[in-house]
Amino acid sequence: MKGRCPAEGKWHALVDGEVPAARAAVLHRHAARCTACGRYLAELRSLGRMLEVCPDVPVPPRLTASLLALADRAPGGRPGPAVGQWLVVASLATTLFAVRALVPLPVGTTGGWDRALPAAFEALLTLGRTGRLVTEALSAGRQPLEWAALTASVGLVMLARRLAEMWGRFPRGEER
Amino acid sequence: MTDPLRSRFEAAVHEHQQAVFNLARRMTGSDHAAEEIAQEAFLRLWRAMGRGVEPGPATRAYLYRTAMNLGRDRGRRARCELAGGCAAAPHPPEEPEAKMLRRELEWKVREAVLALPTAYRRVVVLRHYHGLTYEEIGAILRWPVSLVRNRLFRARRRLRQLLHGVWKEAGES
Ligand SMILES: [Zn+2]
Repeated sequence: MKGRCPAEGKWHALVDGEVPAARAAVLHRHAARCTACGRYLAELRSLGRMLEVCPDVPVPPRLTASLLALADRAPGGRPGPAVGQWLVVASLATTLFAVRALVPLPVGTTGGWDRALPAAFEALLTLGRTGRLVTEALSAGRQPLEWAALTASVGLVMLARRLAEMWGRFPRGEER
Repeated sequence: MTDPLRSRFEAAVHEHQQAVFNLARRMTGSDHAAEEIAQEAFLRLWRAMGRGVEPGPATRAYLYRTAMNLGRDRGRRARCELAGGCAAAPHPPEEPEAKMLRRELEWKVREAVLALPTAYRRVVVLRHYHGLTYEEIGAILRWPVSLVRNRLFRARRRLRQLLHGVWKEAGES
């Protein structure tokens, strides 16, 4: 192909039917008088024909039967066992954290509540955030297991950090 | 009495099972993996329908995308397990030569498609075996049309290299 010849991509678009009729006519005229482009176009077409030697195979009847049987399961219900399990783990961990935020109040003081309540509130926010991330991941069509594992891990790391902070922040009763 | 949700799901199975199964088969090179992928893709569709997020007119795109994603990592795990029409299966002794040659060509082409990097294989399968336009492919793979065009171009260049010998033979015969 020479400098004046259409770019290779144009020929691909032509064989794929992605070129408007007027432009296609111009390309065809060029291919008719340019040996190099004519050969390239012929090769592209022959590649397409070669790929066609592998035809579709019929669906095994047992597959059709098992696909139709999927409708015997409860529709919706849960997004999938893996995601479901991870969500339960994440929710449980967050709830435990919320409880933990309230329980180890310094004995005989009331000052702990003003710190424990915001901490519990933050725990609920974490739960909400995790839930939102998982919902987004599902609606984006990502691999749910990957996303759930990722979000749950992030959630757990955040929880662990908060627990560690709180452990240091709230003086234990027996130490007083 | 017929459950309308179930009816719509069954219609989707009948309409798309052939395409989804063959798409997965071409992506993985395995009948067994293709069956598993089709199962999982339709299960996800059924669950989505149950949650009220039915893809509707985008059902085909939803199933293709799901099958592509599920097939991503299985591509080269089970090469040439293919039963139907694969020349790796022994030829019956009385098979005519023409038929034998065709089976061999079929096997070489299938091997070449399986040898492509996943992204290239995706565009080749969707364009050549499912007849989708650049725009439809872009919608399924969530790629801009320019990327579809570029990858298809590169994929064909790679295929021409991979099939060079076959090409010569086919051209001479
Ligand atoms: Zn030219």
